[in-house]
Amino acid sequence: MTAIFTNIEFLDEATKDDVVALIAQTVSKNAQYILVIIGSQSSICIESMPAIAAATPVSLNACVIPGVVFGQHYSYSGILILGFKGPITSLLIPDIGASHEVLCQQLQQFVATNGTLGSAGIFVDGLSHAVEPFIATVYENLGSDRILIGAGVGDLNNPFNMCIANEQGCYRNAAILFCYSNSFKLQVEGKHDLPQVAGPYLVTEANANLIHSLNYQPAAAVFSDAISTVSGVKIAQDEIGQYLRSYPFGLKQLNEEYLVRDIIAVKGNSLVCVGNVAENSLVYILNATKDVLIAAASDAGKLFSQKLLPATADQMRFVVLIDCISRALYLGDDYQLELDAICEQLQQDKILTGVLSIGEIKNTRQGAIQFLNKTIVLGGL
Amino acid sequence: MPNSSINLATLELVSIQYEITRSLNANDDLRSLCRRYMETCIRRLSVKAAYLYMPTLVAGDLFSDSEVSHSDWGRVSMPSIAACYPEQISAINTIFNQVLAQPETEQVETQFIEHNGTFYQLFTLSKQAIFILERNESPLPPQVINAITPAVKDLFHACRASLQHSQVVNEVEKRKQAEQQLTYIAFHDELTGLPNRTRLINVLNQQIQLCGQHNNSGALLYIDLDNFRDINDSLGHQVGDDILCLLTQRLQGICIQGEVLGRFSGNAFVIVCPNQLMEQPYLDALLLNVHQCFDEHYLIGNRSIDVNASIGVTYFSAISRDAYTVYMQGDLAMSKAKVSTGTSSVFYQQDMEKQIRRRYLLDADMRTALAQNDFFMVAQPQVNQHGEIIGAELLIRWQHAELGFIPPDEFIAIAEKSGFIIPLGEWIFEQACVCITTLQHQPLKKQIKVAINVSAKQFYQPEFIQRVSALISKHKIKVSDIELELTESAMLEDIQLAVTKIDALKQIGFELSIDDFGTGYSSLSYLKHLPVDKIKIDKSFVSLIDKREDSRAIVEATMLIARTFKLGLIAEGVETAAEVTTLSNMGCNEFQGYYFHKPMAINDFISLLTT
Repeated sequence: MTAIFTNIEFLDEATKDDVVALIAQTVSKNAQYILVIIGSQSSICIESMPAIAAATPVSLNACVIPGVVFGQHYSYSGILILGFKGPITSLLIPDIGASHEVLCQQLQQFVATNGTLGSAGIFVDGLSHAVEPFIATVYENLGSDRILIGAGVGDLNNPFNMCIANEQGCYRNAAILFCYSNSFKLQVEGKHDLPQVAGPYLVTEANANLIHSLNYQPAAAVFSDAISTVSGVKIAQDEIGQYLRSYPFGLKQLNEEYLVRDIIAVKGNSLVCVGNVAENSLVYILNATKDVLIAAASDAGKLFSQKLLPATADQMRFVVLIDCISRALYLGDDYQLELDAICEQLQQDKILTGVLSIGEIKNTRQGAIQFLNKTIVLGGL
Repeated sequence: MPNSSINLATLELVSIQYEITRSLNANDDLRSLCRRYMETCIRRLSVKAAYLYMPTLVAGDLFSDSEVSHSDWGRVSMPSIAACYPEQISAINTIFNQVLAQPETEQVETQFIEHNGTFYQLFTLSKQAIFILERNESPLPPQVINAITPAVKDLFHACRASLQHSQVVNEVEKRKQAEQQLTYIAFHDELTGLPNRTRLINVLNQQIQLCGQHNNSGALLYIDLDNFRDINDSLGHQVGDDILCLLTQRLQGICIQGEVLGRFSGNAFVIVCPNQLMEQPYLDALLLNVHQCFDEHYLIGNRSIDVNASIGVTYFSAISRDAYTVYMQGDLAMSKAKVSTGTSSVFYQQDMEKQIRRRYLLDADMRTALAQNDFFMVAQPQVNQHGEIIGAELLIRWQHAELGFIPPDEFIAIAEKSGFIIPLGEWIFEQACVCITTLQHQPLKKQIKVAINVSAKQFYQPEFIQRVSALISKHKIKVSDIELELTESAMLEDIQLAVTKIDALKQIGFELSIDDFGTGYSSLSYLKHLPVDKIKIDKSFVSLIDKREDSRAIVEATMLIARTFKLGLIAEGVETAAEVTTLSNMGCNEFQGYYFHKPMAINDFISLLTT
């Protein structure tokens, strides 16, 4: 990705001085825009970033994310500093829950400046209830001709903390959008390969990310019955919490992979998902196992490499990874195997660089933008 | 839930159909409704874009200019900036034309077009709408199209209902605006934009009610511009209007605590001070501010105009009968203020109300009194230095059936104001003619001249001369037997016209005298132009003339004028021998007053002459 990056710096344990020094180094390499990605367990505080951004001669945004990846190494406390070559423009939307009219006004202004072609990145507060309507509004205004890759940011352990910053302050419920106003198109590949083990179930009552009933029955009871049948072990409703990471929901889509919705909690008889589930949608129960996840990671890497255009492959040094934090949490220490599996499929001179995210964002095959769960997204230019 | 492959497919289709249909939220406006529907289609049907087209004729002003992509069609799309324009594809454009040409039906037709590897699924409703789903790679499966066709029909129906609803809402809104406009016009003055009389009356009635609730009182300022008619007549109505607008601005500048300022009538403004403001220091300050509005000249164009006002102030409370009564009190107090020169204010007092009631009563009764002969004439003889009767002034009297004797000064002032003085003056003139006719039939030793008073209004009537000439002819009397008395102030109202009229009257043969001479501050410069025959020295100078030097000085000056211009001279209001002696010594030889004769009935006067 030398076409767009001046450099990418990684530090596993960084001090504020280290960050300032690396930013200065990135500026010296003629970066036109800098993105600082801070692991959620880093000692670097997002609140320190506005002053650093203000002192930096180029535009700078920062965000907190569960973890970062560099090469075959992943870290919850590390930081990444990404320097972008110009021309690149960025937009910070301070409130993604603002009215549709306000959001359209901000995005249309951005489109008027940057056009509708090229590639874009998006970092959005992944714990905000407004994520999906916001992404729909982004698609409405940016259109289908701009290839987009992005991640949900935030700190799972501190959901109400600020997670995005620029020189003017820190924000939650916000988003950063940056794009190249040229015709280079990102190569993006996304995959989860999770098999369906039960279903379909009609979502008969739901509200945003809460599923109340499936097939007119309490959702938690239907879920516990289903995974009991699949696993062959009787699982009571109050025990299903420990099985949630293994059995996400998959929303049926025409000609597309299941859209995964991780279940993160049980609330009475309702199931709490990461991302919205519409009433009357059709869901299946998928099964995530170590082997499936690692195999899917390998497949994703292979597919990405195969589809990469030779001209792009020659220039590219970094391959961007947006990987769901739920995969890392499920795999635990075995997550390293997933990274190794991806790297094995990439050319040796490529460096995997990316994040462990709260939801992944990419275009569908049709061009629409989707907020995914439990998915690996690889991007390169 | 069964899991067979047939049922699975059916369930999927039902799920798609339900989800898309349910996205049509009845509470959404049309744009939100379309947006939500198309978002659901994109997500659920894995399509790239969705487009809804409607003829502009059907959609009204739903579409902005940029959304009208075809002369007869407008579109909304998702994404909104889609660079693709399916309507420009020839095969699709043909379908657009067909949809407009087809007879109207409720049947949704589906058609499929492939163009350069992109698949367009069209849903059409003749003359109403076209919905297009755009997809890459592969077309939508036929069973999905069948499943969503009813959902698209629902979209069309929802759009139509929403548009009809919008049209109704627009109509209602327009009507509401028209009603608001009418209400505004009904309650506001067109020139100044201030509340008008109707609104002021409503406001005051409300304030009176509030006084009852809070057990306190409010105040009303009635501001009437002095001589405003003169400004309109001399400088034009546009200047008058400009002054009213400037005054409005000044008054608005001082009504900043919740007072209600309004234009009550042509040149009358009103300030209603709400009860919660009512403390005397506040009212004093407000009144001072109102006075200051008239301190500075009004600059209209290059002209600096001095405007004064008379201000009546009255309080109101729960015991006030109604707004009309309060306004009448303000008006009455204002009338009292009119007596003063410059801007002045007068507070209403209760006895003013009695006066005004009596005034209204007399004004109303005057007309019937004339018809019922409640008016009658008396004669006050005029004598020479020997006490011989040389003439008489005929005076009108009114014996009211209920109120008894009404002083002439009182009812004549009312008649002057109401205009009734003109028929009344004509009646007086006729009575004088009758009196002269009677005298002509008496064996009198000497010719007697009868004098009557002519009011300014009557005198300046354009047809005054013709009317009195007609009466003279009717009664066949000599014109020289009648002397017309005009007050000095009446002559000064329009000196040029007065001279012209007096000349004309003299040519006919009338004699004219100046009544109340000395009270109108006449200037010698124009007195010489007035072709009158006699001066009547006002009784205010005659009274106690034997004791008052200042009166003597005035009378001496008057005598000098009379001698200079060869005018007759008579002193009126003579009541004592000392006054007679003093006047005689000064050279005045004709008198009228109680010392010689009180006013008396005409018959008594005739008897007096004949004995």
